[in-house]
Amino acid sequence: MSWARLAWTYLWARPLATVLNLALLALGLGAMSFVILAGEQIERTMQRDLAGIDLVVGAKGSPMQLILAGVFHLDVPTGNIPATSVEALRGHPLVGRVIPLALGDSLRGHRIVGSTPEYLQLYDARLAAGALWSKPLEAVLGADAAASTGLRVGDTFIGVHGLGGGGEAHGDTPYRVSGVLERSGTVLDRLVLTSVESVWAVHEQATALDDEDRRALEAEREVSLLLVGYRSPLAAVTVPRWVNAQEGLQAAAPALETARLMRVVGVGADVLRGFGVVLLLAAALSVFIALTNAVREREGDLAMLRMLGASPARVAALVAAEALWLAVLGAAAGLALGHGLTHLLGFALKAERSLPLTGAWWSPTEAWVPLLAVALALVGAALPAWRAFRLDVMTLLHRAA
Amino acid sequence: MLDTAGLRHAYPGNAPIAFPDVALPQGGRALLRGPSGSGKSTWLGIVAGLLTPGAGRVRAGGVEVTALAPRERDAWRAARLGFVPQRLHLSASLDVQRNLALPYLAAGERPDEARIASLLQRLGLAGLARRRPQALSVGQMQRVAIARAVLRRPALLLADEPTASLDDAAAAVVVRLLDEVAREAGATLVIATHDARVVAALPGAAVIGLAPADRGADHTAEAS
Repeated sequence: MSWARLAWTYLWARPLATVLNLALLALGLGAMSFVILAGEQIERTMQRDLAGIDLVVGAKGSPMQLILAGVFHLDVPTGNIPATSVEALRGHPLVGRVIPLALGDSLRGHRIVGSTPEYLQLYDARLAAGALWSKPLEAVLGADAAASTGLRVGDTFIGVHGLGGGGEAHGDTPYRVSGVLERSGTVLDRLVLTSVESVWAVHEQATALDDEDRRALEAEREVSLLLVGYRSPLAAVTVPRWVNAQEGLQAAAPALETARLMRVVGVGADVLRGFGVVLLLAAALSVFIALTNAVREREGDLAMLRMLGASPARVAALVAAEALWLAVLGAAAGLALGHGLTHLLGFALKAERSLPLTGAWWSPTEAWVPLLAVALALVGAALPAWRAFRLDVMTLLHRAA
Repeated sequence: MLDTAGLRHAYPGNAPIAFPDVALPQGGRALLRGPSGSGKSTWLGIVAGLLTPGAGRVRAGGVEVTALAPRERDAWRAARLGFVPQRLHLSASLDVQRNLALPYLAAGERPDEARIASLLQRLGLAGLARRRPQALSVGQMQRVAIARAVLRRPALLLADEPTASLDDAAAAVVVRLLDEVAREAGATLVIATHDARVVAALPGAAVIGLAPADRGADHTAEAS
């Protein structure tokens, strides 16, 4: 037997108090770990999705909605803008890159995005199989989209009108899968990508009454959003203002809007974090009460240890060691809980074709969780350990056990 | 050997207690006698190195205990002292085997399982190693407490009212057992008692007689 073993035995000599303490610690630490995991993953995903996009341009509306629709594909676009605006922006001297996005259809919840190969280059996407689209009505599937639909290169599918699914099927214009992308951890994973012309073709086929009508539609071709990259940092000052001055166009700066978004999401995280802090304070108090009772119940044992030659520091350390065991077990349970919750949320979000989130990922920030557990346990153990340090051995050995 | 000289101790607000000088050879026997409140537990505390006396010195087994720093006294106690408390104080959370590991743990050593096993055998406790103290008879518990005191072969063995709650036969057995294990360990044995049966059972023992407490000196948490 060792001191650690003795502390362990004493810990489980009072199983109810120990389980209560563990539950409080695990819930509090679990909430903390969940906030860390979910928060950091969402932030990382957003940062990755924002790579290289300095400005999103769309129809007049909410800038936040433009970002959500254009960058993260979590919202519908504010409307459409004329295809000619692509050239207008490309003509601006401070603009380096303009990637058009044409939205409107989906495949089992995965958005069909009409764009240019530049959109894939933005995220350094690589093909796992097949090739890029070379003509209209060829499509490349993101890794998640391919996995959930089971489609392979050469298969055909039919897009459904609307971004949510359940709309009218475009049966006359089936797409053919020309390639599948490697998983990139970006928004591309969830998308079906094709050329802008494909999207136009599908809608003109679906709505045109005759050839004359088709020509009219072709003349009014539209896109949904533009992802703009600047040529110079100076552009951040002038380009948004210039865009907003154009009729029907609205500019949204991703940096600004995501900061706003994170503030909104942050409120939820703060509430959860606050809840975790309350739980942890309750845990520290509970550890304190349990150990105070344990020391009182066990005064005779501890006095006997002193009589057997253990120093006061050793006896105090025994009480602290009991708290440390609680911290170790609580931290392990808390981390398991946090990762479990994150994974569960990841499942739910995946079903909604939303942000990727996994419990199998570890954040360096989580190192704080065990440290926090140890700190709390030691705070709770401080006074009981002090009492153990100052035991009046002779009086205790004389008192009825 | 155990010798004390000029031992006095005062609790705040009380008249000091003066203890008679003691000079026992190594392996000697003594009875610590005195009425309630005469300072028996104070004397035990001082000799065990748990209390620092107001004046005087204690030498036990060649070590001047009162001259040691508190930490050194803890180490001395672990190495050289056996103590059988009146209430036994076996840990209810631990089985007999682990209760007997505590002296080693307190001394910062690995438990000597062979020594524990042979002593259990010697005291007729073989087969009870995995029992909790609650599952033992009073006599068995007393023998476990004695085993715990002599495991590490102390130079000085102190027993506090070992017969207080026992019938005549059991009391005689305990006193004889203490005498035997002390002899086997070569230890000086001091039994604090006000039990005439103990006096009768150890006729050759020296008597350390404590004077009755002065008025207002009944502070010593003496429960006996």
